Amino acid sequence: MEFKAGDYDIAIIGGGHAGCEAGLAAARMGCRTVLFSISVEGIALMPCNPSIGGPGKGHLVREVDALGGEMGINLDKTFIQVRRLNTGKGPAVRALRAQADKKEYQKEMLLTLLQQENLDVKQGMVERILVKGNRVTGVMTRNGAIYNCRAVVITTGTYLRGRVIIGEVAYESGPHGQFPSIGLAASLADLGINLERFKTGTPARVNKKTIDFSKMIEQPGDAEGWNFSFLNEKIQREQMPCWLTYTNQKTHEIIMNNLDRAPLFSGFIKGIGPRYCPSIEDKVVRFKGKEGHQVFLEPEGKRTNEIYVQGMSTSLPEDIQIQILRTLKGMEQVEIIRPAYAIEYDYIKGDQLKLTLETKQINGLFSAGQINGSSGYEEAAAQGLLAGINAALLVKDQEPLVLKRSDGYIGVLVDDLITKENWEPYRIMTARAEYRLLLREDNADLRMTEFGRKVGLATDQRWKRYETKRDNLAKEREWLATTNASFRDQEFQKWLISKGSTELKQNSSLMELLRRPEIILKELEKFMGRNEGILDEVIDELDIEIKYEGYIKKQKDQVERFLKLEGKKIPADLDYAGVYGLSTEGRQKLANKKPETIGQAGRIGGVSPADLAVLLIHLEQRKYKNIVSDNNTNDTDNNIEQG
Amino acid sequence: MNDTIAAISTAYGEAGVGIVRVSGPQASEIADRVLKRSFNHQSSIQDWPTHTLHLDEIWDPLNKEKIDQVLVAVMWAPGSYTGEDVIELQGHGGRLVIQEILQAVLRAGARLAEPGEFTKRAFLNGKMDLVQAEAVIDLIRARSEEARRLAVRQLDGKLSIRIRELQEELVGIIAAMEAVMDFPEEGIVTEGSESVDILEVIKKFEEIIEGARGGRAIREGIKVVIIGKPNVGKSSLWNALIGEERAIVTEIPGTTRDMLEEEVVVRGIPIRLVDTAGIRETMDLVERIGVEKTREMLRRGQVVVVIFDAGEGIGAEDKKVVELVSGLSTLIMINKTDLIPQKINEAEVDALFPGEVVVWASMKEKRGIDELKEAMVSKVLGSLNDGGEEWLVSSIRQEEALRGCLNACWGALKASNERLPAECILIDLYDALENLGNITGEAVSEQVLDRIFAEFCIGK
Repeated sequence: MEFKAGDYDIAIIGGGHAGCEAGLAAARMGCRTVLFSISVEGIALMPCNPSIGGPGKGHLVREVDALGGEMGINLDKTFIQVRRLNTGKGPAVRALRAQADKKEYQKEMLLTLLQQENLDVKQGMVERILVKGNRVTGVMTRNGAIYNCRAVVITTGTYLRGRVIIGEVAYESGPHGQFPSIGLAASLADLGINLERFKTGTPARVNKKTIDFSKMIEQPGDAEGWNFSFLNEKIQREQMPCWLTYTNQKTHEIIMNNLDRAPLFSGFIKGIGPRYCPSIEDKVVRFKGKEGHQVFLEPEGKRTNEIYVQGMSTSLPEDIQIQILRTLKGMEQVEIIRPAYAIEYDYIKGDQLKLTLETKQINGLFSAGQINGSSGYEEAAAQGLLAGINAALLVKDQEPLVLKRSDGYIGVLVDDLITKENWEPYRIMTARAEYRLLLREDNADLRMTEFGRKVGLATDQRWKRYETKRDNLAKEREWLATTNASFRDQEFQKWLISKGSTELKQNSSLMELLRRPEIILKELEKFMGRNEGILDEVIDELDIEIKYEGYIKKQKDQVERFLKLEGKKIPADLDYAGVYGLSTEGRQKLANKKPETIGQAGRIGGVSPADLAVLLIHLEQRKYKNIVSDNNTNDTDNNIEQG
Repeated sequence: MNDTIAAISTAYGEAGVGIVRVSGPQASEIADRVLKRSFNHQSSIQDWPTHTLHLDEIWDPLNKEKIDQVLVAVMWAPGSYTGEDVIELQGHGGRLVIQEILQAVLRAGARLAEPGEFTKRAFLNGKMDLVQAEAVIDLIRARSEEARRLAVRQLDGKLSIRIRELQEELVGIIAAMEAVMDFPEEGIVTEGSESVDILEVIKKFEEIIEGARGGRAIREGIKVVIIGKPNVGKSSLWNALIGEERAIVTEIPGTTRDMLEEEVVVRGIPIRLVDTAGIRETMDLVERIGVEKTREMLRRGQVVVVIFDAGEGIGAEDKKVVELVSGLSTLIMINKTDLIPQKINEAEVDALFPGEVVVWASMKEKRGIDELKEAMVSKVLGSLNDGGEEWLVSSIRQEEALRGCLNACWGALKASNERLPAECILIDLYDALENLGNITGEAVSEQVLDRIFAEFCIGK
């Protein structure tokens, strides 16, 4: 019952956060794109937490936005609470975090997709990837519809052979009551792609009317209002609070008494779950001494009574779930709307991917999001965007886009997924970014917009804003460097004292002065009566760059060293068995991971510095052999050093 | 390869001249910083023609003290061994001095070369034939294997435990700081400021580095004095130890006249044998300069090996020797145990040297030599304060890493005291951790994440 249904450049399998970004990017880059979702209602679904952002994750959203993605814009339209976290800490870890109105988020994103030129949204379950040799030629749905295309981006999230577990009950299912995707797994296996199992979970949703919030601590948003997208100004909007309560001894007792019914402990769940997102039974068992664990109650939207019970993710049976929830202060009468569940799903181990997110096995086959072993909406969106861009670049026969660890969190995320051994779904953290002082939320546009412009995703409006900011920065820097404060200026001295600073003993450039922690550029501008209309964000940014200049320079030096190794490419067809002198372990690891650069090779566990040296020499040898060597006259002496 | 590397390029245990080789684009700048001429504000050595030799002095760039007089050989790119600017500093002091020259060069901005790195650079700069590639690889392999073995051996024991403990402590400090930043809403409470913990770590590092200094002294060779009445077998022992017929061995008492020093390496530790003149001369010496002065001379050896003659028994002369060495760190060797009947028994020796190690040997049958070597090493290592061998950080690479670690910790402490944000403090702390990783050979970045999840209850 197969039939030819259409011709496209690119097909996206899945309409989650990765799929949406991939589809939009490809279409916006001028490729004829089709996006399949098992259910149109499942598009841009947030099946777990209502929140987006936070340290690392917020950074990703800002980068996705600056690169030309949609998540930030869509979130700005639909958040019901926004906060800036870590404001009391350093500039690198300050991060936006919002609560989205889940339904609104989906509606807005779906509308954007449906209105997007070059993009067709189809409800359908893709069951086969069609290939010729090792090149993608199309996809086929369960209904037999064949779509020809030159590139495919798989973004199946937790749907691929999804299996939901609640206590002793288990059944095939996607997340949030959606259908799972079954047939595609076999098709991928046929293509030689190895799939493994991960596990994740989500807590119960409960009814707001059955909760007594007066017994809890209110967690309001920031009155100031924030914007994720660089296209927006700060957004003032009525916000909804979250609520904090705690588990107690009674809660823990019930959990401990029912561990034999917890699939995590009975061995019923085999997939590996994330450590940063442990189920409540896991937390109670591992941290026995703790009297109470935090539980946040988060609204899922304005026009719903559903409340997300953050911190209570579990795969205990439903009868235990309700008992546990009712031990919490303020939740004595609570009613569950949807029970918590664990879900197991297939994922692709990262070593099968290139840094462009194309599979090494099949040309034109890309994957992004949870299927690559990550977790989180933001991580998915970031990969989706990158995969969509690279699929489009492939179709257009242009150079691929690879983001490096020094470019941004997207680079860190992708490199980690591919290069490291990940034993659990991967979550971004600022601790994973070695150059994090350079990779801040505030400068994501400075880091990403040019990439976006180059691939054709930065609109003129975005580019103009970027240029304004860039020029403002240069102008303000110039002013600070060339303007002096005079120590004879009594007014100035008085102002310094009023800021808790010390008087000048000699003239000083403003730049120099700003190194003092107590001198804030914004206040200095005001005092100096400067009125050049410099953007606020530029002023904040410069303050950071000047105050932490020493450390920023240190990181820039580190990046320079990093880039040198990153620039040394390893040919994809290198046969490690033929590289003389590699250690056994190094050879094995390199052969498995097939790193693209010497830098990447060095990040693989088990590859020693000596292996890298050997590899460098081998590459050099190979290079010369390829050129036809004709100079064998060398003045080597026999003086061999002691290392 | 834009950094500049340095290493001692003369083989271990070689004669009086030692060479520190510096290679890379900053070679001349670095040399300028350690040469006396720079302290006299003379022009840069950059102006020297390539392949020339100059006499100068090495001065420590930090404390401005003279280290050694050196010959400076300059070989500019591309005509040098590595194809880069190369400077060789030839000192004529002992190994300690050469190491100090290297330390000075490192402090002036060079990086310690990886095993085989000069050759690697030579190859990558096209200074070697392609067919030599495999030889280069072999060299790198062998060198790193050697370094690794050395490191493993040295890390076997107490030092390794101490370093791992410190690593754990650092990881703990970092994990706590990271957890608070990455999971700001998890209600993570950390006790007090990290600066207290960092200071604690610094103190421990300093202790280890202090220990390392002892280790370096040992690297310079431990002095062993051999004493015994004439013809008891001192020279035979000497020869057996160094494995060559260097000292004159005779049956005539008193033929070993000159104070001789020779070096033998046991378990990687150089042992400098000091041959006293025969005991008869020693007794003359006692008469001449007194017992105390003689003992003082003996005390210069970290270990005194006392030899008795099994064929003759312990006689009056031997008793004088026993008096002379009382209170010193001694090892007893009973020689000529091939002779029958033996006139010395264990109880007799134990009465004179209660609890001391006694080696029953026969130089003639070459028995007991290895045993004595081992005993000498154990004796010296055992005599070091608090632990001995385990405290020995004998590779300059490890010492360098420890120092790097300590400096980074100081940087972190300073940042912490200035109330700089955690990201800044952490840049230094990761630097410290990386240095430790260079010693233990362990990847440490994942340990931090492991610790965060193990120690803090984090989770949505």
